[in-house]
Amino acid sequence: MEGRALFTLNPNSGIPIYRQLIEQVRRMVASGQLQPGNEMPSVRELAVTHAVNPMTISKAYSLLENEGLLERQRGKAMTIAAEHGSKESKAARLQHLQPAVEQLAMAARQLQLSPDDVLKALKNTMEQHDD
Amino acid sequence: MTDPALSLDQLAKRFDRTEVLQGISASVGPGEVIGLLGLNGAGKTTLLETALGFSLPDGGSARIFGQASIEMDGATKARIGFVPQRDELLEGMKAESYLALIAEFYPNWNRQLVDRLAREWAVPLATRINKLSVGQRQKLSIISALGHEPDLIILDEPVASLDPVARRQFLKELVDIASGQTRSIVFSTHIVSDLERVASRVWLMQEGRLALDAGMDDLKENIVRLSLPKGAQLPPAVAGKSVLRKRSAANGETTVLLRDWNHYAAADLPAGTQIDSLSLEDLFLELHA
Repeated sequence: MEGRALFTLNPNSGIPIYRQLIEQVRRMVASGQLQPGNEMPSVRELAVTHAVNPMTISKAYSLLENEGLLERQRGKAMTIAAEHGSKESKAARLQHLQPAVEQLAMAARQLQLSPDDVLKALKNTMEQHDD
Repeated sequence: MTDPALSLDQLAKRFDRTEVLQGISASVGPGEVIGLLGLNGAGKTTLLETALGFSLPDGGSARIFGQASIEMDGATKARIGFVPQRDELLEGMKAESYLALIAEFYPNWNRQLVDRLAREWAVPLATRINKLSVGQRQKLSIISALGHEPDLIILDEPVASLDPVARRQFLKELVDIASGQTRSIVFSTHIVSDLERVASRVWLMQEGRLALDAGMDDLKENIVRLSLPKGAQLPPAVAGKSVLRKRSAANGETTVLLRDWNHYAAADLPAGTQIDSLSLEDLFLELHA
């Protein structure tokens, strides 16, 4: 798998490289671009291709492994885990939403709205769109 | 437990009355890539050279693989590769003869590696050193410090004379070395964007002190710039030792550079506070504003 074609890493942004990589892998798995059994490039390959520090890449891989998104077979490449096919766990899908939730929470605090107020508004909005 | 590649304990150095290093403590573990930043005159070169034992410290100590730098044995010295800011190449020699001369000192000299780097970096080996361009000299100086595959590589502004293509080739070589997770690299540079790519840790020197010694990921996640709305104050819970720097503009707005952001939350701040994460360049500029 060619490292360069797969990911876009921007080392000069305020977001750590490992976070950028984690986000991209999550999204590509959620969208099916990465399928169970697909091999990930090695840490060295990805780090050298992008000329970025290898520790931050291996940190991303470890966290994705803990999350269950990647699995490591002894002596072999990291692969996309089998259980992560088309259906993602609820927890994983909620995780995708987390940045938006944090922004919403911050705006709500600044507007001095209670969690109940916000939940009601969110519920109304989501139900409107379901119709 | 293995000794750190480099450890500094309250290292101090004076030139005449000027305290160039004011008690620096830090260490470098296996696989780490330390990027050393600082304005001209901040003490970067003095730090590297004193760490290497080129001169006696005026206080504290520097140790390399557990040995005091000023009295290392040959075996420990052979584990170090150093690229000085101004190369120490021998003018009249051909580049290839110079490399052959350096190779004599090291039984483990990796001829294949040296040949590959000279080819990939387009260093004309048959040319006399005094006929090489500044960039070619710098490349030769780097290659001559890597041939014995040292466990600790110290480079003082190694990319200052390199064009962007050569810089990227050099960075990839560093990344490849670091990928083995056993060898350590310390390099100083003014090119913040390069350092941001390949360093796992940043040392920022300011007036002879380490103003910052932080992992790159940690630095990006946990140092933020807060722009407080007009007249607002930082609450006591957030103030204190987490504040790296504070600036007040004439219009009443206050900008705060805060570390340990993971200990706080947006809810701790006055309403309307803008929170920005920073690139390393932004952070460098903020710390020198």
